[in-house]
Amino acid sequence: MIWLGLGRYIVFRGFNALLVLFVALLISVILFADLETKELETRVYEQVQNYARGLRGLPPEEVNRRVEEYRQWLIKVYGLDQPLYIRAFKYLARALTLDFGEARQRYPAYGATADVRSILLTALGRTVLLFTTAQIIVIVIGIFLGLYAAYRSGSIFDRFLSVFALVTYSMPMYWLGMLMILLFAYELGIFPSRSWEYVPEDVKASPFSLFVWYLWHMALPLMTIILVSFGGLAWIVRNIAISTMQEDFVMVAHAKGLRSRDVLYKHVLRAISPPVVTMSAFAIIGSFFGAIISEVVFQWPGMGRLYYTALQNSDTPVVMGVTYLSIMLIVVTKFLLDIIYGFLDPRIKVSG
Amino acid sequence: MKISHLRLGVKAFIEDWILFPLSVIVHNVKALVGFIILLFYIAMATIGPHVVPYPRSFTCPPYLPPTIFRWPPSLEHPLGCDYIGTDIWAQIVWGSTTVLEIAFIAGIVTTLVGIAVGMIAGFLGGKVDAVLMAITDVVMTIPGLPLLIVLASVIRTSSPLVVGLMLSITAWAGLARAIRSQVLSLKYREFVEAAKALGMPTWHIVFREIMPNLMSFVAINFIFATVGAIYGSVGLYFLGVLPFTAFNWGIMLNMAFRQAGALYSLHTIHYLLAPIFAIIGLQIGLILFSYAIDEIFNPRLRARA
Repeated sequence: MIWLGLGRYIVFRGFNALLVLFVALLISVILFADLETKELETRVYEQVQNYARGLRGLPPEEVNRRVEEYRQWLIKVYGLDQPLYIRAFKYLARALTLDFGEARQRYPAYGATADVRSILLTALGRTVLLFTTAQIIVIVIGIFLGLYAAYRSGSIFDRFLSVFALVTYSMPMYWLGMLMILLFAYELGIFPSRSWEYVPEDVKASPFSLFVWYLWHMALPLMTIILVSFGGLAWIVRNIAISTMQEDFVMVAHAKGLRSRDVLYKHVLRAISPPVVTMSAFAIIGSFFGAIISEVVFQWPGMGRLYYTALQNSDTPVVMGVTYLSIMLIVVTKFLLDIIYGFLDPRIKVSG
Repeated sequence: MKISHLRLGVKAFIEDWILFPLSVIVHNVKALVGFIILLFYIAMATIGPHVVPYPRSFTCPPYLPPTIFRWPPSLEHPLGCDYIGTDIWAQIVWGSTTVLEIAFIAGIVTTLVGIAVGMIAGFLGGKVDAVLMAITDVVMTIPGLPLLIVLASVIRTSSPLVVGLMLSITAWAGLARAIRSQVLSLKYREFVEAAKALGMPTWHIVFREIMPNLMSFVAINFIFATVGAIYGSVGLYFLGVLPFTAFNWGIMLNMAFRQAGALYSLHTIHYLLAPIFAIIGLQIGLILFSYAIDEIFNPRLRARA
């Protein structure tokens, strides 16, 4: 009976996730379809102009006829003769099979290919390298410091953490990044100002030197992300942990005579894990897409900068690719978390 | 008879909504600091432009090549000057008006939409709830900043009202979900059941029984929506996707980063520090002030006072 309930719960959640995925994609397709239409119309106009230039010397009626024919043909090729919603659905159908088409322009920083899928993979790899690494470090530091502050709540460390969290939370990441670049790259000259450069051949030779090279280049953005983020996370963990510590089962554990360290790590940590896991999961998924402004500041060619450059050039295939990937990952993560909770918490199965 | 009634009402209003919050703020050091910071900013945005002269270019002493602006802060120009000889303090003051307007509008709209959707979904339940929560899920899934960039490039306006509305398009969803779960947990409490049993109309139950219990939550979320809107608008201006029509702290950051090359030398650091300290100060003021909100709005704490 329980398993039947869980099965129904999973089917329900899965259906819900698919629905959200579909509608969110449809909305973004419609949103970008307008940009796409303008872009395509400009292209048709340009190509018709070029074509007409090649027809010089023919009688004017002949030129007009041929140009008109060519224009009709182009409109058909680009699919501009179909209404917006049909094009949106066609795109959606292709995107569901991970076919994002060809980029409108080349992105030298992402390999000189026009295939949107391979551009996306290159960008994703780099963003994961920087932002996900940073996020994992942030989560580890944040949980540890948060628990410690809750354990010693009211101490100087605890107060310092609150103030630190408040200040770093109010600080835009890109601004701290600019300050770090100014200080460490231009004034002190310790770290490079451009965080991404092509790896020289002699460095590629040994894995150790490659590692050191990457670490040296990534040091500034890594430090920036970690400094800005861990205080806020630690503060949230501290608050959750403190409210958990006042619950009865923790008192029972203390009354049983357990050492307070054991109570903290065995009972409190387990009780606070669901919200902390949710937060961490979304933070890690969020880190896959980098931060647009920070990547612009650090000149790091990852997802954020790709998104920004593509938006500026109204390169709709690339923009849609990034959007699709981001919506997809969020929906899948939510679905997985729902299922995990379904296993962990028996109450959900009944109400779901 | 009537006039004395009115007088009593006014007196109760003043006691409840002016004297009592003030006494809470005065007794809470953090909130007091936040309150003073906020007062300072509000004064800057409202009175400031009438007191501080309009920031004109080339008003500072002549300087050498335009990319090197080595004018240290002085009495005449408290925060120094930028790369074309404009007083930075004047820019901060004149920019504060739009920043505060955008943040305030976005905060209000986000909170109102969030409350409305969350309340309706939580209170009515059933199909309405399912539809509203599906919409909320979709809005939460669509990536925020890219959507804002697209909207900004399509709409191309700097009017505080429109920018504020734009910023709240994606921001309300999280609040709506939180309000809904709060309403769900309050819906079956004894005092709501009692009001229902007494035959009270729905508006009474919603606004007199449920709302007061949500007020502190709503007010804190209003502050966080405002903080988020400040980030959002400054970020959009920094990226340069909104047209530069008036002074704004985000535009100053953009100029420092792109035009003035403030990244390359410590001599120009005041241009980078000034707008950001304005932003951080405002955020800290808002967050510190939010510490007092629970005490002001929470009906149980009020009763005790």
